[in-house]
Amino acid sequence: MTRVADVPVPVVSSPGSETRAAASQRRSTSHARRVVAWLWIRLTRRGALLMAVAIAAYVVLEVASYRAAYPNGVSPVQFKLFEDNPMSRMMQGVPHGLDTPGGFTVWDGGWFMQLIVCVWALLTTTRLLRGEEDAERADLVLAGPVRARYHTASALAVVAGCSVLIGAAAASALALSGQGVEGAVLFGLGLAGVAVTIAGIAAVMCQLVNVHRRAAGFTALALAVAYLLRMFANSTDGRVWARWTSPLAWMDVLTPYGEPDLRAVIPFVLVPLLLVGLAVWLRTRRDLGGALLVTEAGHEPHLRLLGSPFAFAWRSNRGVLAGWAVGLAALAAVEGALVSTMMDWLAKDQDYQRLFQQLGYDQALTTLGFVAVMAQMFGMAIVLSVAWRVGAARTEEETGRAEAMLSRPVSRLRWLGGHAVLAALSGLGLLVLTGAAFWLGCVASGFHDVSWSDAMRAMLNCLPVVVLVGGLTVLTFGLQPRLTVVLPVTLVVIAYLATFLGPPLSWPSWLLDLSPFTHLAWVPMVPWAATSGIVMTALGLAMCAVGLLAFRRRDVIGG
Amino acid sequence: MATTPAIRTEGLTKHFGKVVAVDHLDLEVQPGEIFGFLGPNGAGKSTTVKLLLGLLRPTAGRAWLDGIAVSDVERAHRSVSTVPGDVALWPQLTGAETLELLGNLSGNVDIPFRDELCERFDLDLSRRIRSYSKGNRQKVALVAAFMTRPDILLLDEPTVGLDPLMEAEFQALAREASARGQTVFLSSHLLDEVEDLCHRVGILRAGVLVEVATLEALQRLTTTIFEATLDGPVPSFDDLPDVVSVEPTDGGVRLTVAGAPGEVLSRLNGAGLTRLHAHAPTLEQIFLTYYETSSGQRDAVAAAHGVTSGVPPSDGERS
Repeated sequence: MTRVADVPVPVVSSPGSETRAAASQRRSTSHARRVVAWLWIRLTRRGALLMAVAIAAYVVLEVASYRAAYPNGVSPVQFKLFEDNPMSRMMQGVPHGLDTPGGFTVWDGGWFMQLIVCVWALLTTTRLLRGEEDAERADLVLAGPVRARYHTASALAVVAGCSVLIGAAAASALALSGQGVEGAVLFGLGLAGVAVTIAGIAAVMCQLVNVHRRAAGFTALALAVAYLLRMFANSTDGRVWARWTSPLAWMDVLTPYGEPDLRAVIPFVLVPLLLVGLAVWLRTRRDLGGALLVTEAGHEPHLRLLGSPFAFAWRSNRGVLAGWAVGLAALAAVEGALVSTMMDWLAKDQDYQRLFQQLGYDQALTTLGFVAVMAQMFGMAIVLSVAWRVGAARTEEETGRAEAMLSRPVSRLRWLGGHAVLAALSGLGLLVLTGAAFWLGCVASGFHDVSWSDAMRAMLNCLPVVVLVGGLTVLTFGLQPRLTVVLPVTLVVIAYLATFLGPPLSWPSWLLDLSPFTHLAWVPMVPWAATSGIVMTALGLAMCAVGLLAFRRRDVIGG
Repeated sequence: MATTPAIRTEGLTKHFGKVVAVDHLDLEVQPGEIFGFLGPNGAGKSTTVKLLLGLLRPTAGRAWLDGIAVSDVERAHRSVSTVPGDVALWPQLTGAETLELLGNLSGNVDIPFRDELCERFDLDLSRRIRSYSKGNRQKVALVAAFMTRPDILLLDEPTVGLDPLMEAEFQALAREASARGQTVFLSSHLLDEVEDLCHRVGILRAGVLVEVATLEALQRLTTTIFEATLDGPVPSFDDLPDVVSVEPTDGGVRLTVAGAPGEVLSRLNGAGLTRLHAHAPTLEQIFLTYYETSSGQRDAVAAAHGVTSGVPPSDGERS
């Protein structure tokens, strides 16, 4: 009888009470707690493993591309170039230890990896803490002998555990590819820490507002603010104090492979603990399904935009679109305002220009080339937003709400076609808006070398990719609805990264040609590549058509 | 047949992978009829309704609503409304907004009737769907289904979550609809509901339509169960064809009897009857008659009850 805890031990010998004892053991809180924790793990493990593998692969690719591009390490001149370049300082961070592949990976890819794990943490946390409640599945769990406090805390503990796993994957990939263990551990710690911090913010949002999407939206807003604060902090050496204000900049304080400032470990550990504690406390202050900042009082009906499937699809998705619009416009205006600084800095020194040419970055040497590079980066973000917009149709189907539409005189073609048209219009609108904001940013900073038409043409150049990926998403929805968002988004991120990582690794050109971004000309520096633009648009429209037809021929299926 | 059937299926079949959800369903429901579609959970009732709505694509077979192929949803759905088995609505909309949206999608809303329905169901439309109870969501779906006065109502377990008062209101509505010539297809696992309401009943088991009977035939099928406590020994009932089963119990006997019970009672009386409890079979027992007995036994039971003639030949038994 040494392992009492594992075996249900009958206290009384009669058969009836034996069963009752076993049953009461099964109903015990400790057992229920294990079951809840197991449930959270079930709901997160696949995504977390996928993230861990993806981040490790990203690290390995970065190390390999560094070795290919800089066989002798980054020279002091190159280092200076990266350090002084205001754009790379603000986007990627102030470089440290670029003489090693590890330092280069942290600087070149670290910011993007941070963003990826933050988005993962945001989506996972809001799904566990709000999605489960919205779907009324949390009711079932909380009917067991488990307190709401434990329910929330254990979900966050599992998210934290997954974050540590992802951080450990990054650290192992760095260490195993021959980089210093200390830097690897610090980088892994930073990645895990920033993920848990965002998870903590998301957890607090989940207590303040109801509805999964709303909590995710507010957390995304917080993430965007953190990114802008980091840009501000890294813009000049005089503002490094501001790094403490943004979780995304704590990694810059930590500087793995540079001169590590271990004080950064404090916010990485303390802030998530405080946020999680706050979220758990707030959870005890509210009802299941309730929220602290929202009351569900009735209101006068708003009967506009309820007239057709199309109007209603617009009504229910305009909030998300507004979020994308505000975020992209703010970022584009900031980048636009930086163009003149960037150009002044480039014009100052012939050495830099020569170096740019050697590195093959010559398109970024001119103002218009620089605008083209920026436009394609925003283009990629807009492409992702379009994939998510088509994914809203899948959410309607998954929740069973599409049935309420499709069991009325609404054809599948009309319903899905409406979503596809709205996705395309949203994409177009975001392209125009981003171009306008970029141009306004230039003008506001007193820089007039970028015309309205330059900015517009640069953004609209991305339209074929928007159509292509939108079409791919509709096609996926028609054929494999469960992969509607996952497949296109993964492919777009890989394709976009491939255009940067592929050339230094001398990937074969046919492989690079698979990426739609390879086929975009650097508009407005060079004219629009008409052939590839038309081909991609036609391909996108064709995939959209096939997807629409495939949807007509398949079952409407829930989650 | 002169009139077009409101609902017709021909060899309608649906497979999900290896699972056969609906197997060669042949069905005709006439205009103005209230047709009960009875079966336990997982029998394929909801799948059938979704096939009729064109939400699922049949593996084989065809179906028509008012003579229009169900795949032509824009035409077929003009005269159809439904209450789905799993009511899913937009949590952010209020009840009023939901009815406005669904009404606009269907067209032809009878506004005074809609208001009357809301009143009869005692529905507060100012709250958001999110804050509604399950019963209230069900009421919204019911109002949305009835308010367009459709020719055909496909109702998948529509009274789930309703209290008895509201259930009675629903039954009244269904009868009124039928009296006006509207067809009601009522899928249910509640025998009482179907018995009270329906003109004809189809019984579905594991995707197979095992029986279609008029209400009278169904009632003839239903037996009475006598639980008797006896002083003396249990007499023999072998020579009585109406006694379907005899089970000895502690101090007596349990008999399942179809038809007139006079002879049975007198024999029990002769055997020293001290206590008699009679009750109608529960739904489980009716299902048992159809589900658990082999087809040979079922035929014997049916023959004993003389109901085979009550089964329309086109919808005959399969097994």
